[in-house]
Amino acid sequence: MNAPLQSHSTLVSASEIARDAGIEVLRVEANLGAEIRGLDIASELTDLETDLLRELLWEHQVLFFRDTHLDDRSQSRLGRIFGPPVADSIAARRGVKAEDVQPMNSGPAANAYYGTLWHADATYLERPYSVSILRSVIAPELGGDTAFSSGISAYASLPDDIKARIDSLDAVHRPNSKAYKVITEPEALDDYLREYPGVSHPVVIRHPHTGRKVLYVNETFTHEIVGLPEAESRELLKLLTAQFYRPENIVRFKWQPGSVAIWDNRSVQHYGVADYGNAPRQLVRVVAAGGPPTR
Amino acid sequence: MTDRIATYPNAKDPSSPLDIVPVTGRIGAEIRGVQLSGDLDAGTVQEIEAALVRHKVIFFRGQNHLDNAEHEAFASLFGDPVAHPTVPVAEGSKYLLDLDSKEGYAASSWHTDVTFVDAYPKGSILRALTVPEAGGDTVWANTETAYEGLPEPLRQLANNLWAQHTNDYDYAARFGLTSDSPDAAKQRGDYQRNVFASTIYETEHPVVRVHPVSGQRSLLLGHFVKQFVGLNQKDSTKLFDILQEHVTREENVVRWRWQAGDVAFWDNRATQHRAIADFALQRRTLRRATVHGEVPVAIDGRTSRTVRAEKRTEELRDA
Repeated sequence: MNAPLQSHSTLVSASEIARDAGIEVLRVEANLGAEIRGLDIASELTDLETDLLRELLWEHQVLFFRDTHLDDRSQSRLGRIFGPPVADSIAARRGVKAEDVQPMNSGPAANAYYGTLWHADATYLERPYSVSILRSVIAPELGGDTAFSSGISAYASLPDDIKARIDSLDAVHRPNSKAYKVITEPEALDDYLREYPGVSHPVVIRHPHTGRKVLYVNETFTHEIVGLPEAESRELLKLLTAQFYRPENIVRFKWQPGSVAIWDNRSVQHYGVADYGNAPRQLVRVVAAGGPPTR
Repeated sequence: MTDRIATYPNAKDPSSPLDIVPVTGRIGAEIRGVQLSGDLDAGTVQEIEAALVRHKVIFFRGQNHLDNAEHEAFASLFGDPVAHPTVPVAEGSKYLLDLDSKEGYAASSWHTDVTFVDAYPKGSILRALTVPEAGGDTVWANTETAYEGLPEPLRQLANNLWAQHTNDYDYAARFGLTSDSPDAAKQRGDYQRNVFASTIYETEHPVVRVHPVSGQRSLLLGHFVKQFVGLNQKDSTKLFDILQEHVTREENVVRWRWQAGDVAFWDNRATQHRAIADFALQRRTLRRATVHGEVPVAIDGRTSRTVRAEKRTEELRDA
């Protein structure tokens, strides 16, 4: 469990190239997370900067930026670096278009997003988002952090017999009760659940760019492991999803207005910490389309 | 809205003269502008103690001037410093416990310090000497907000429950060290039997403890729990997991990234903590002072009791 992670096999790491370009890369935790300084993500990035940003993201899994001047337009532009924009499956029903940024409000005005369990975004889709970008507009004075947990180190820390057991398994992902809080009319809800009846993904996926193995089940959307008796499926899912609670796999980020997190939605899961009472909190999200997760 | 924010359990007490910066919504605060020593005046000591009870763990940066003697002198302002009941003290100190990664030691499982005895320490003061470039953080959990966050039926159950705590447990199983080499496993097992549990302690504590200063209730659990009184091992394990997961959920947790010279001081009566073993072969050394604590009191007024304190004999050693 204390084995060092192998860094992925590029001869020169993105961090080293960044250093030469005057961009500071500060590792936050040993297994994931880096704060990036000296790269203005609100401006139009050069090709070199764009390539670098992608490489840094694959390497560190989640990137943090402080005091950015990102607005709706520049955030959308930034999202396109990682793929075409996608509208959230619930927001789309309210007429939100793919190219719109999505406000995630909570606090007294709307508490639908107050706190979440561990999840990667929209794994109940056949093609979950590849990358999500979240920007803080209003931050509570205390609390309301987002925690990120790595599916790469979660997988690496599993005992060999468990790895062997799960490498060829698939699991079913479905929208969970979170949707039921946001969609209040029963008919609309039935319609929504018909539209997203669930999808099967490998329990262990290979990252499309780095080839690293990722544990790909989450406690919010993963309902069962295909082909196992119910009790066995439940036990195994409990063991696997609990890997994401281990602080060894976690990095935690405190928001301030202007703070931005960009995460690789294949490599990490995230958790909205509900410790800020009634204080207002507003984040704005942009997501990029991804491909089907594969083994 | 402002007065609502002031209702955060972890908000700064506006009447405190100290420069206090809370870290999360429920636990942890950095205190700035205090140089720790054995010479602090009584008023400052009182304010630090109040901040400790309120924020559960308080952090002081830049205390590089502390040596062993000054560390112990500071601890003694808050009560009688006590050595660990079984582990020898750090070289050149009277009470300090050495936490050094070169010994392969990182207590990477959630616990409250020394709960295998009845009057376990009320506070622990940890000083960082050498820290890894990245990794090796410590996390603390607020066991009072954990209690408050329990659904009412679980709270009712916990209110009347007692647990047996012991230092005599299977170290490898507890820490999940299944990938240890046989040599490392033997070394660790020997240390566990011959040092850490050279005297075997078993103590019965209430699962809900009433804080002697604040009167707040908290969950008293952590990795020294062997089983609940009156339940078999199987039921105990399941119930322990349910209650313990309420303690360690992210809402109750603060995470501290160490710099050399940092001091963390936690209220060991209202927290659990755990090291994060992600620093591989990087060196990580810390030193800990502990202050003698009160015997825990349950809601109904009953108190904890140590039911076994027995030197390990050769037969037990071979067992």
